Amino acid sequence: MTLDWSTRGALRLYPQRWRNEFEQEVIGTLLDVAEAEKRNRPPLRELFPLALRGAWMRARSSVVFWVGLAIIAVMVWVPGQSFDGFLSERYWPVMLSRAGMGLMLALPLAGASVAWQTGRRRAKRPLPHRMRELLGDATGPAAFVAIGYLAAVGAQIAASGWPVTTTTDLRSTLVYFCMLLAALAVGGLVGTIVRAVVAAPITWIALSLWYLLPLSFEEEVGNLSGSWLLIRPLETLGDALAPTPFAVVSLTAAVLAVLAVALTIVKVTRGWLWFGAIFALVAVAVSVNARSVTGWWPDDGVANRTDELVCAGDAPRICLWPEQEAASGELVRSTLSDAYEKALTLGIPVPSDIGIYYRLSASPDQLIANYSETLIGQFGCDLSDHPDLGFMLESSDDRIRAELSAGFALAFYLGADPSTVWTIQTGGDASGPAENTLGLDEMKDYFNVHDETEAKAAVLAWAERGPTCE
Amino acid sequence: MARPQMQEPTVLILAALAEGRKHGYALISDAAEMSDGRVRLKVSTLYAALERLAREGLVERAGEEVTDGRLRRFYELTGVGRAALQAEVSRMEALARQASARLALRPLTLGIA
Repeated sequence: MTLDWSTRGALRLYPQRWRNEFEQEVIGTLLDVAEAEKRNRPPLRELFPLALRGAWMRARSSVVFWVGLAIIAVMVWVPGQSFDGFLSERYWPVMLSRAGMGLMLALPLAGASVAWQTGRRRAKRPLPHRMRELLGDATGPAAFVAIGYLAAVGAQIAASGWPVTTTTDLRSTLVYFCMLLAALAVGGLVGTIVRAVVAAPITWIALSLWYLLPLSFEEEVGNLSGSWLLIRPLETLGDALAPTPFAVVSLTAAVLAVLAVALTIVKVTRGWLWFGAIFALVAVAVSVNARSVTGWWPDDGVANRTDELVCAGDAPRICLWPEQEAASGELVRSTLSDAYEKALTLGIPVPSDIGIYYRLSASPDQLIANYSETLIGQFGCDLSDHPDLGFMLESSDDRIRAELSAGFALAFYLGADPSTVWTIQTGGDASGPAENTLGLDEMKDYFNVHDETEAKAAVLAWAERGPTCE
Repeated sequence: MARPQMQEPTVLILAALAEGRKHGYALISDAAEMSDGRVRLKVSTLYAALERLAREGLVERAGEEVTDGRLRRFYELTGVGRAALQAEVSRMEALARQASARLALRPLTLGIA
């Protein structure tokens, strides 16, 4: 009787130390069991728990496994902390973009994980590493990031429902993949240079700083920030089936940079080190600055309509996804049409094209609140840009306070329930506004908007003030 | 401090070894025989238990041989293991006596009339 592939596979899951001590003995016992049952191979009921135990034994002694769990946790947790939790505009480009929000925390962990493994191997035997060893180091962390990303997409689908269109856009996913390659390469390179206990934290700190650099830097510096690379995909909306030239360039540059770094690690000589470092820097510079190349990046802030939209009316002209139209088209159109007509009475500019509202669960109050934000946004900064509207109240920034009051006032004037509007503005949930924010009555006093008359006055004052976003 | 109660597979393994040294498959078949076929130890369960019992000093290796190309490693009870098994058996017997007394049945002859 010979050993079949399933039995060999189950035993391969065990740590090498265990296999050295027990593998032959266990094989003998498995074959005895099979023979007693007159089988040609050990039964599945023996192999499955055997494989599970092997995987667990390997995992519990592996730093990469526990870091991987942390990677998955942050990939799922971070999108859930956004303005409306996992609720997302129900089409693929937005869902795929938002699923990558956790990368700012996950990629440093992935890079540090690779640095740890590479550093430990370096300590056991001298360089150079073998290419397959480098691939092995990177596979685990990459798999955990991929699992976390898919889980974040799944959480959005669970919260919002299946995307309403079949149009896909993989640009953001491709950019995230490039970032992952870069993080793994950085970890491998640092782990080659210094030992594991130093390489892992250095990699984690360096990548964390790169991904968390604030975007308020000068644009030239901001272009070099990993956070810019992360934010841009999050802002990307589109209907292209094929990736843009930017995404292609980024992917190509990342792959070439990783290959250069890998070859450097595998063939460690002074010449290769210089070549790999320079090549990688050039590749990164090309990819991040591809944005400035005309035609390589889609127009900013342009939400492209798709052929699947159902548009009706002239003033206002409202476009909905087919599923929205079927589920609540009448409610959405009547609510927004009424809000449009009432907004016109204020004498402020009101675009006749009303933006798309993706969330099928939107109530009339939510629809009006979102519509109000859109209208106010044309006078100043779009309120949706503010990370946490609730905390802004504690700042002395009069501009933000004015925007918040105008948005609230307009929604109030257009007929939305004030408590619903305030909950949305503060990023709260069904239980009410977010913590550390003013209560509804306090907020009304703060904005001096208690009734429709005061609401109208607040909106007109805002409109008269003109654009204030800087 | 009293040893925590043993799980049934552990008791069966120790009881099988009480007769003398045995290898893996012999322990599995003995456990099935002692439990009238009710307990079928899986290989993973057996070796997890043997590793743990070895760590606790209740069993130890007692040689190995190669038969038909298969490695068979033998295990036997240590003195500590024999004492632990005895203690567990005594505990189970005391419990059985208590239960019998309450059922008003003769101890250890729980036949059905």
